[in-house]
Amino acid sequence: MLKLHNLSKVYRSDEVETVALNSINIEIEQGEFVAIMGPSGCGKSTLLNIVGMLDSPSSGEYIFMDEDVAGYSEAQLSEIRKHNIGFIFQSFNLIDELTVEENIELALLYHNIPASERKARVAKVMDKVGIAHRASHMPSQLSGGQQQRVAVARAVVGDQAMILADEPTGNLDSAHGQEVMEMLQSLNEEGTTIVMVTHSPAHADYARRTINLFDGHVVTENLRAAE
Amino acid sequence: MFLNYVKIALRNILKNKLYAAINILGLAIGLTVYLFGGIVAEYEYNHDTMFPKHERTFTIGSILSPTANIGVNELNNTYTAMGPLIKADVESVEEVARTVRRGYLVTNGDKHFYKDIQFADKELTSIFDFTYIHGDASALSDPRGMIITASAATQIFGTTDVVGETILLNHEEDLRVRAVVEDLPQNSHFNSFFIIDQKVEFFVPLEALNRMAEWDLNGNWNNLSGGNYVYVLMKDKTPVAEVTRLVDEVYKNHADQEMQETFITGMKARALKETNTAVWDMIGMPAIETVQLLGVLVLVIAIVNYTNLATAQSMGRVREVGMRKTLGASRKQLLLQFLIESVTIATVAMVVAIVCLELLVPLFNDATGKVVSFNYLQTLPWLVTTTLVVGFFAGLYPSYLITKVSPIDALKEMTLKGGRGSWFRSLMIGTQFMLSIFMLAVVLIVFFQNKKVEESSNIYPKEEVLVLKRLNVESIREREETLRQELLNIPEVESVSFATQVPFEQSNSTFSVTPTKGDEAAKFQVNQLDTDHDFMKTFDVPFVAGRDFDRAISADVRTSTDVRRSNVIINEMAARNLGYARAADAVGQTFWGLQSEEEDAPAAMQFDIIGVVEDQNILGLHNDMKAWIFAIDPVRHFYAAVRINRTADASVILKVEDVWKQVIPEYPIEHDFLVGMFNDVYQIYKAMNSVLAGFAFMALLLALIGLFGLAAFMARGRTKELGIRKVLGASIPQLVKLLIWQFSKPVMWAILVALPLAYFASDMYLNFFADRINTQIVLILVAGAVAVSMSWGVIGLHAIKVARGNPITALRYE
Ligand SMILES: Nc1ncnc2c1ncn2[C@@H]1O[C@H](COP(=O)(O)OP(=O)(O)OP(=O)(O)O)[C@@H](O)[C@H]1O
Ligand SMILES: [Mg+2]
Repeated sequence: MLKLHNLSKVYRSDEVETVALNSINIEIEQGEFVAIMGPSGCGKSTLLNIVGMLDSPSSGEYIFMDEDVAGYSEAQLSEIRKHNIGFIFQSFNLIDELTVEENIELALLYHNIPASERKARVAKVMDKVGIAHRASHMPSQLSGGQQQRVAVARAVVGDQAMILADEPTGNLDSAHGQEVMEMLQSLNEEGTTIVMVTHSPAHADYARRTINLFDGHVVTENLRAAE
Repeated sequence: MFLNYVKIALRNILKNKLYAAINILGLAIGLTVYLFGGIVAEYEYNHDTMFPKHERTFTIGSILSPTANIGVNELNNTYTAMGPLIKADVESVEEVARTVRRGYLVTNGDKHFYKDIQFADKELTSIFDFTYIHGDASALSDPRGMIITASAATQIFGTTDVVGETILLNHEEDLRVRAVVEDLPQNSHFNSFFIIDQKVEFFVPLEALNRMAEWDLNGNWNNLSGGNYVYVLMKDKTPVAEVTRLVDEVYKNHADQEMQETFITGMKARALKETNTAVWDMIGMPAIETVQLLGVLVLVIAIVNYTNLATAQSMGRVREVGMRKTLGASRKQLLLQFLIESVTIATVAMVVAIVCLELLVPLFNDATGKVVSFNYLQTLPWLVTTTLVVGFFAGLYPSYLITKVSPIDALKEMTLKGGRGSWFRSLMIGTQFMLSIFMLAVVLIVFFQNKKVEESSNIYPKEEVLVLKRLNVESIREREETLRQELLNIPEVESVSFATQVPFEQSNSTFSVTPTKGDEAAKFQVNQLDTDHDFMKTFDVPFVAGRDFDRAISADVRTSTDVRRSNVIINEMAARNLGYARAADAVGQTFWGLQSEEEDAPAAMQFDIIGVVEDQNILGLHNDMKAWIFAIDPVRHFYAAVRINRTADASVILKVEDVWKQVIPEYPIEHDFLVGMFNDVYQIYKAMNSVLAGFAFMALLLALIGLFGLAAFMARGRTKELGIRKVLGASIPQLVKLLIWQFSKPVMWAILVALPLAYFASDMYLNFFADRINTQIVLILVAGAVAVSMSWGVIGLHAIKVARGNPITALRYE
């Protein structure tokens, strides 16, 4: 599905130069569930952002579905992203002024989908994640777990091939965290590629493969044998 | 404690420089415009205060009946006959003086000057205490005396020490200088009448006018020329309404009944210090009040601006407020803190505004010839009050809003984020744009109406007619034919016509005619223009039927006033009024003047129609189309119109001047192209438009500055949301549209409210014109569209910047 080749990301601010990613080589197959782990500041989020085309690399190749997208313009990236990638953030990133339903619908709003179909898909997805009874609530009226379920719903409603999750359980207690992990797992079983950053080894166990980053380098890749 | 607040306020201003700069700039613009309007209004309403008796002095004006139909509502003078009657009838009057203005040739040896002479009752010097350099207030008691101003004396004699010198008026009347006074102040009604840009330099006893022009010293009931005044000095300070009542009673007792019913319905006294503003009452345009009102409106926009920005910005200070509250600050203290901050900003803005005024006032004085001054000591209370009021009202809402939140909410930055207060913000934006659109619409309407006036004046060859003026002297009348022949000898001169009136001259002398002799019931008013054989040719007036005057037909020229019959050309409107459906039907027909009832009055005039010309608005400008008759009468002409070939260069003027010098050596030539005479009046409309445009520009500028600031704050508050939308696939145009739409709704509402307001306000202006534009509503919509697109531009620029930002920066530090 995607392949990173000698990919680096360097942040330059005034005097300081931070190498967040240093010549990374990673390959991810269609339908994989990959966990990315590593200490704070090792470049996990940076990696995920580049994979998600929210950020561009300083050098190296990024081949996404057989296309080298490293040099693509923002508009081109946005187009690819829109149709292939969904996001789940640690801090949910829901819009406070919109209801649960509207927040989920937002992911379809920019896809030229008729309103009736949008409504139907949103309703289906809300059922799936079990948030339908809260459809017209505001995010601030929900618990953290419920908010993250909304975020998951929003990430999957567009039927994207790949979901990127940056510490999706970081703000949740273990029961709610498990709930979200199970949701991701069932999505993966349905064929969605999932790349997830996490600090929890238990949650990383849901993934088939774990990539350990340290200081911008890939240190180990553990493949977990299929049960 | 108080100083401490000011210190915090200043620190906050310095901390947030861009925000403070936008706020100060906005308020400073508002204050400058408001103060300027106030100063100008104050100046206009306080003329003549240098005359010690000004509080007891009044001028008498006349209220016109709607049937008078001369284009104004009232006049700033009245019949000269009223003067002696007021003096005789009203006990509480101390002194009455009349002045009659006439233009005359003033001669000292071989030096000639055309000057306006103020013929006056000798009582004038007891009402007005002029500053005498030489001679004294008895000067006008000498029936051959004269008062002259210092600069006129210097111009004519080269010195001011000229008491006893002789001045020859119009080659016929010798007058002796009895007193030299300092130039009359610019801010007195004598010199500030801004339509006629002429100074009063000479006072001559009315007796001289009596000798020269048989002017009846008791005055008359038929002349209301501009520039004449009837002054009344009361024994005691009297309310102006009381003076009006007293003189109105005199008028009701003495004036002819029919005149009271159909022409002048009553008298209106005016305090001397407001006499100069009479012109606006006359034409029914409250210009000074409008300037004041516009100043206030612009200030309101500036205050709204501040309120908006401060409210938006205070979001960023909720934490500070929460902290202060947690530490024990009371709501009152916090309120005070925020109000002192806004008053501090208002004070800084006021200082900036005063600097602006110091630059603006001299420019204004240069442009208008006025002597507006800005007296700090006198205006200090006004300035201080304004600052406090502006600071208070501008800061009230944001202070109220921000100090209302509970400490916990404040610390969590909860309350101010969402919908709350946004209806208020929309209302404020709406108000600003409503006022801007309103002003812009009025400017556009005035502009296009003016343009229409100018375009309709193009029926005359304005640039090809050189008008020679001041020909109304018998000895010049006698030389007309010589002058014409000599002028026609100049190759570039195509024709020459002498006339009592040329187009655009605002002189409106009418009389009644009727289709059948003695039929009073069918009478209607016509304007008469006396001229010669070449008027139609010179001014390109097209014929609809019949023929032009012909030198071969002797009946075309009326040789004496004893001849009671005259060949005339009429316009289509006159033909219609006479009852002819087709212009051609009128040719060869006759109509009549009315028989005067006075004893030994001459017989009614018989008019034989020889031709009909197209309807043309000879008075032009704002006037109605009128019925006209043209005749060749034995009267003095005021003008010679010299039609010059289109290809001629400026040297032709020198040739015309040479011819004049040859034929009429004893009178200096005075000339102007027809376009110049048009502009004399037209410039007033243009000036009005410029003033309005200035205000509208300021208003719109302020509204846009405010919107920009607001968009900046609002977008900052929505960075996270925009980031999310972007991650989810929103394109930049989609985000820009989203941001723009947020501000568009109040602007749309503003258009809806501004529409009727602008409609009524511009109607006031348009009502003044007979030939109105009919695109009023379109223009208002255009104004709305301009405001909307400019606001879109401002927000859009900002929105693009925000929307292009990397969504990660927006999301990562949440
Ligand atoms: N915009 C930026 N400018 C400069 N340096 C940055 C920027 N973003 C990230 N970095 C640096 O890059 C490195 C990697 O950051 P990254 O956010 O990817 O870490 P992380 O592995 O996600 O950490 P955490 O587990 O705490 O989320 C860090 O040292 C960080 O300071
Ligand atoms: Mg991270």
